Amino acid sequence: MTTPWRAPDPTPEPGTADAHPTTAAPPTVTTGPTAPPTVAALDARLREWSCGGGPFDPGLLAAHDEKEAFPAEACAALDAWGLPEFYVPTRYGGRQERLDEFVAVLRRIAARDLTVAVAHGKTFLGGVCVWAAGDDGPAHLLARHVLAGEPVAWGLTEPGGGSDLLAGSLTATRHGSGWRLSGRKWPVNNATRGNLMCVLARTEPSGGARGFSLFLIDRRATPAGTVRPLPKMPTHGIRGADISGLEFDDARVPAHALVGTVGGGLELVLKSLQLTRIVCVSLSLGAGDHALALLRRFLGERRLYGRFLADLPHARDVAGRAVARQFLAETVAHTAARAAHQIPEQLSVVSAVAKAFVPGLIQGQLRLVGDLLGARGFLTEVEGYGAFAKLERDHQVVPLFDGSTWVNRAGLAAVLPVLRPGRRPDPAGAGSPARWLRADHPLDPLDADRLRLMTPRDALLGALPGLVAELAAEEEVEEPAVTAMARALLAACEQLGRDTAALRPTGGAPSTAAMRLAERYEWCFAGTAALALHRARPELRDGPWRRDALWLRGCLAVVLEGLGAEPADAPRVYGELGALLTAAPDVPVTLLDATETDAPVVLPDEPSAGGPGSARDVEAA
Amino acid sequence: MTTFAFDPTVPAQLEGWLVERLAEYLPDLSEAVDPHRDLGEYGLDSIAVVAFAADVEERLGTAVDPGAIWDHPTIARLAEHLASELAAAAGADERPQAA
Repeated sequence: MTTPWRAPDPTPEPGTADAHPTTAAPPTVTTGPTAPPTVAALDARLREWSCGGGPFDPGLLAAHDEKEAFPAEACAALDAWGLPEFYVPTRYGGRQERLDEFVAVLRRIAARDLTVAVAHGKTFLGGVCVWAAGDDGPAHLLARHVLAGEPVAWGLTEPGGGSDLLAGSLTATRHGSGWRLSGRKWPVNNATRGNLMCVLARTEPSGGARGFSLFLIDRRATPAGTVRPLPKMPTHGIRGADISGLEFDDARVPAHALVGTVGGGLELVLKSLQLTRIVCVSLSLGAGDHALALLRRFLGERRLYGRFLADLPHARDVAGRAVARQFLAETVAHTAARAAHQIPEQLSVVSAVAKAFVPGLIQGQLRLVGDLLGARGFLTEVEGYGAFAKLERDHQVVPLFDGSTWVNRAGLAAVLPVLRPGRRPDPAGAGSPARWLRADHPLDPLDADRLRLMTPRDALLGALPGLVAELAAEEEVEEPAVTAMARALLAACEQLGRDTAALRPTGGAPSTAAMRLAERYEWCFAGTAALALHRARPELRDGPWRRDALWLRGCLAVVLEGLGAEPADAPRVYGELGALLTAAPDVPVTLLDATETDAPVVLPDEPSAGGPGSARDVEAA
Repeated sequence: MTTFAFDPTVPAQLEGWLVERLAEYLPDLSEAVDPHRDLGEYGLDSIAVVAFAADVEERLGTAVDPGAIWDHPTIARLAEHLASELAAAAGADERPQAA
């Protein structure tokens, strides 16, 4: 069966005060018939939906969490709003065009409820391999299903297999023109509730890197009884999400279920993970937003010793550290999302850094916020602060998704001898992140064909010496403290280069020393991303967080501390950031205005740098 | 231009060089690396294969995707593959192109 095609341009319809999911309509489009639903419009919708009786009513979501029930109302509201269109590339009729935009969308949802973001966002994961395989698979078929609101799961892991994809034992064998699948996929997000799953199966009995292939399974098209759900697992966080599995018992699937080539499954998955890892960190950004909103309210209303908590220096310092971590996390995520367009050849490194770094950074931020909230962060029914305990629990799954922190860091550690800072002279100019991070820089279309399994290069970290030199040249007009911190970062990065030179390549699991070096690499990368964003966006120098490069000094203070330094400016920077959190309660803790992600300056038909003819042809993901 | 003490477009010479590179990844291996043995049999895990490919690419100055190692899983076959790639690219820009 097929579901009717839904036209991608939503019918303009005024928003209604009643935000019941069945009446939720796509937002009014003001910028033309092909303009996508905007992040700002989603913000407005989420605010409505979060009112009492709405699908995102915190009381309703807390009750679902308590009962381990799926947040069906919230997911239905997002379906009606048009979120599924963001899961499908424009070339297949959806709205998926820019990864930074999708990161912003999922972040907004995660900031309301992480379980909902995980429960709905998995369709991005389920589809990504199919788009990456392009016309070499059932992309058009899947696009129709997703645009009709069908969720898609991504079945990679198996019982006992951990993160090792080569250990997979679910087997696909040829059967006539099609295939027969036998084995289990578990644990898989949304395995039971959906009909569609993209499954990695062993197609060579001996396995190996070319021994696996991908299949898009539609349960409705398999003989009755041959595909059975495995029970939902009770989980510590995201309790309402459908974390379950599927068991295949000689399930026959047609030839057109094959995604990509026979034997090409592992490569396709590893490349797709480079995109999904970047998307995953949006969940951390959302959790950070949510926590800071709770903290902001608390600091403004809690009185201790005759003063507002916000007036106590210790509270300001801790709050400032939490804010600085949020800016740093956002910077790394945004940089990685744009890197997916501009330097996809290097995305293996960029995505591993983002995924290894950001969730841990936000875990640390949540600890800081939890310390300040005190008992309110622990008690679940006091004055609305119970949301903190839930988001803290929910977030604990993010470091595990799509390769754990360890897996990503180990991948980075293995290539560290090749990536060693200072090993090769760094080309400046066109490839510099300070160029492609400019808000008005036309991004190349996402192109899965440009992704590579590895890279011996990192243009981001390689840009650090040039960025510091540029900053120093502007010293008179710049805040000298920034230059001092940037120089300290460069020194730390050079030290990392010297320490890495002693690292021996290894054929097995990386040593603890190599893992520590990889962690330092992540800090250096993050600090460089912040510097590059500062250089790229002069507009980030005005505004409450931006005056005297306050946000940048906050980021660099966190980075330098992470690298074991004690920047002299840090206490002052954290104090200022913490004070601003309550002094400017209406200013969101973000460098990325909705306008920046919603309304690219480049007109839709202006050719990008990608080359003639192919410029508007968005390939994948 | 990357220079070598051997001609990387000659499979036999490239093979000897690759054997030395691989040996660096296998410090615990007591015997000589057999160029006709499957790399997987040396316990090189999937992450290490990626690192090995990046290393060889960096030193050779031509694109070496781990996929090439998967398709040519012994040193001898990899040498043959890379030598022909290098011969084809001889004279062209030494900058590796994305596959």
